[in-house]
Amino acid sequence: MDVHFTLNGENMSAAADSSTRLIDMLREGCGIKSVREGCGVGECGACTVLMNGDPICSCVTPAVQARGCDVTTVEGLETDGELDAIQESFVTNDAIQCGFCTPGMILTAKALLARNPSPSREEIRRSIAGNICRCTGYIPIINAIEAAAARTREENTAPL
Amino acid sequence: MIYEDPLVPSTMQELQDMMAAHAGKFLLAAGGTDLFVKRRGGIGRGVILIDLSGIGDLRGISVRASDNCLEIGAMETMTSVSENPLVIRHARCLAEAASKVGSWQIRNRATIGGNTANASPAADTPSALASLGAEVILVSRGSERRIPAEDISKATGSSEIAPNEIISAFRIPLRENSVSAFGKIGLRSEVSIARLNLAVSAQVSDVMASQITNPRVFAGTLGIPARRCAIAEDVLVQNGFGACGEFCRALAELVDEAIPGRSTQAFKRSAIQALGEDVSSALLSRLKGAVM
Repeated sequence: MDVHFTLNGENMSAAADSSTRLIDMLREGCGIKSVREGCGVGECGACTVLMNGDPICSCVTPAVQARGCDVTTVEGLETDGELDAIQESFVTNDAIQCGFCTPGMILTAKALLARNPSPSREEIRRSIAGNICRCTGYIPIINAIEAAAARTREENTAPL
Repeated sequence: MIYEDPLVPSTMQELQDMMAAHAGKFLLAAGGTDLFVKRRGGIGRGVILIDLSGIGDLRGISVRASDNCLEIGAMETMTSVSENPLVIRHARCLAEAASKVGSWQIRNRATIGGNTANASPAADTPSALASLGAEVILVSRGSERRIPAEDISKATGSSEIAPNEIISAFRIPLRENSVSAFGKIGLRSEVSIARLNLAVSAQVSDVMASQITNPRVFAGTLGIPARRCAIAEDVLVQNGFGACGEFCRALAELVDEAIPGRSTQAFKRSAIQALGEDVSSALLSRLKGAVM
């Protein structure tokens, strides 16, 4: 069947059968390669995408369940060639090493800051508990999310 | 495409028609978080996935005044259950159990109905549902039956749900002056599969908890999803929450009865007593808010 949904703000249609997972449909049907398969069982978070704003593991989500939904991958965060504040913060805080976990980590952070503009370090830690990084030791990632939150708050309160 | 097209019912009637038309050849997808882990190689040729996510009647959390109960739709997610004010108010241990399932990503998809239907002995919500005295509503074509949550799974990985039935909702009786709490021990603090969990609910007469009635104590991950501990309930009735040592010893006896000789017996015997202390402490701290 054809699954109709919104991908990074644009209408999309992709084929899915009973066995198709959302990650398969995004990578093979839509050419979105930033969505990575790590563990394949919903534990590592490398496959994280936002579905209607909520972070989910696309490796354990049936593709058919995306119908009518708004799906966001890391490609959707860029606006007019400008990186999102969280993406920039990951770069400036050295929160990326091999980069495999980075798209999922950034999307989870995006969802966190949408709900909680001033998270504590503990709240950040808990929110990314489902995103495993084997390189950074997490400290730079937590720093990056904390800095992105601060920058976003500043921008939102700055006079026009 | 080498596999069958999925089916997407939007009503219970459509679902039941599809289940009847494809009997023996379908798999139901709630959140998918267990389904695709069990079926990593694919759903299988000739098998049809029936997606439950479009059925509005399987969602909703509300108080049914006519039945004096809290009703939770089977397709409610762990996130919605853990954050819902009605669940937090009337079924605190269930909100706590749901909040401790997997990661944020998993809680956003995993459903309370799927958690029960999957019948994993390490599931988090079955012991909480059992301690609250929840009923599971099972519907099939033209009929409905209710069974106590503690009776839905009496063996590892199997449930009392017939192939033509589906869990539509859970009903939790509203009890005056009730308190409940849930605790879990895993190998790490987050994104952890339970090695042991414990849910306790009871009604109390006063802030000193001098009289406790209708205690319900259930442990998870002792062979089945929810195992009752009648001895611990007797201790609560006789001594209140204050007799923590005796309560914990009763829980240790439950471990000895449930998994004698198993390699994890010694660990769980110790761990359940620590959980008993944590849960007792949480219950005591909640008493003041529970009594009018």
